[in-house]
Amino acid sequence: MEILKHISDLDKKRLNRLKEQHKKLHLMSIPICKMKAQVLDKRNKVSVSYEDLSRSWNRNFYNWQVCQQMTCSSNCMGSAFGEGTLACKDKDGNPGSSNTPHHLRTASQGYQENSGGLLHGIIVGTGSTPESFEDYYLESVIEEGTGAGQLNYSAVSPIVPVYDPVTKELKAEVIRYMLNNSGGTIGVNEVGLMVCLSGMYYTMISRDVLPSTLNVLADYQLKVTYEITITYPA
Amino acid sequence: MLILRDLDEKEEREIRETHELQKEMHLFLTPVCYLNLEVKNQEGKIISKYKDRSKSWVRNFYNWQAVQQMACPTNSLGITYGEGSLTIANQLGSPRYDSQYLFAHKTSSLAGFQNGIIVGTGDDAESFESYDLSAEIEDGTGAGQLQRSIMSQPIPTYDGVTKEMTLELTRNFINNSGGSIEVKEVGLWALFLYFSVNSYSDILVSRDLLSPTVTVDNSYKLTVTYMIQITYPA
Repeated sequence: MEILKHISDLDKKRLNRLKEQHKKLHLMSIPICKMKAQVLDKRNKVSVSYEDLSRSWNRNFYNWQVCQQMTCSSNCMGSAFGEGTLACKDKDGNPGSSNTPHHLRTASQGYQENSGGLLHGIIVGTGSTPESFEDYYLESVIEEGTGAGQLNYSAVSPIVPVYDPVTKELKAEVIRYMLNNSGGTIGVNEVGLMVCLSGMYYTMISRDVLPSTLNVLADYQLKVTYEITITYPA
Repeated sequence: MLILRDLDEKEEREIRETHELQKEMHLFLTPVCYLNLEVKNQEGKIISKYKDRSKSWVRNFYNWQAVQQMACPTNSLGITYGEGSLTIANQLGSPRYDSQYLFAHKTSSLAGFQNGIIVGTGDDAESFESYDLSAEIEDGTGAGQLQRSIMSQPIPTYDGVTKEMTLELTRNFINNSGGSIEVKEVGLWALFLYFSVNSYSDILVSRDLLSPTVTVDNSYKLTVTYMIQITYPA
């Protein structure tokens, strides 16, 4: 198995330090997100593995969180998208805001998605432009299908988190498989996480660019996992 | 003017160091919340001041954040309230849950809800499980009562230099009761919508026990401010 990247010992130490600091200072726990991408061969054996902290929450994610924590309307600072406002940008680049806080409302608005759907949960692409805080969609999304350069996306199941009473960690995993039935190799360079915020606009909240291309050979599949962890103080 | 309490500079330095490390690691920067109280006499002169960092988010707040960030309904880990569950405790301590996502709603358009800042005379120790004040001070001019001002819809401000989004939530309490009132606790309430049953509920998200307590003499005015700050990375 080829390991493209794994979480460094330094990052693990720093995460522990942050956890201790939060406990000591009685600070609110922040969501820690890890992203894992694995290429599985025809026998479901991992051929390539990549794992790192996802460091790519974008402006959309921040604005959504600010609206929820501050209970303020998403249009209260104007309806344009950019620094100093709370509007989000949908996947087509249109700013979205309203007189309610950005929120997820119905269970169909979160990460769960039907097979073949590209509006919720995990999507992948071939673009390699460096990550930007202003990203609102993948640079070049890989479409659903069996044609050249296409992948068959599996469904994303509803999220059921798991709580560990010893570590006080609540963990949620968003998992998606993408099967390459295109007949050729597909190079994956970017991964995005999508939700549907209030007002029904489809919004990317994170975009991770891989340090090197993950090649998914014909008949191989790509498994991508986002793991979000929140540590409770008690 | 009497300074009852002020910020702990050592802790403030440690928070700055925590933010620096989070910036370096490209992680979500931990939101910080401050609590200020000010008592003024009839002439508007400040009599006493109390300033501290609020360290008192309760389980309701964590569950609310987890439900939104992990996109999972409040009933996804059962319908009882407590460790390992995502339900919300209402003012009576009864669990509230929903098969859809719970989210904070704007506050200005709904009459009859007491969301916002409320003060009390109870001195029970702070607990992560709090869902109400120990002894709420009622609105009015009778003995032991304070007249609460209306709170307007929150609008944050943004500082383009520090990248800080700051919300100040302020409420005035006028003592026309005829006697002194000793304020010992402060609670922050948010208005939630349970979408599938179209039901609103006031929920306590933070409770701060004051040390020392703050005395409001007859005809004096107490101003309480919660300041919530989230720093953007760009």
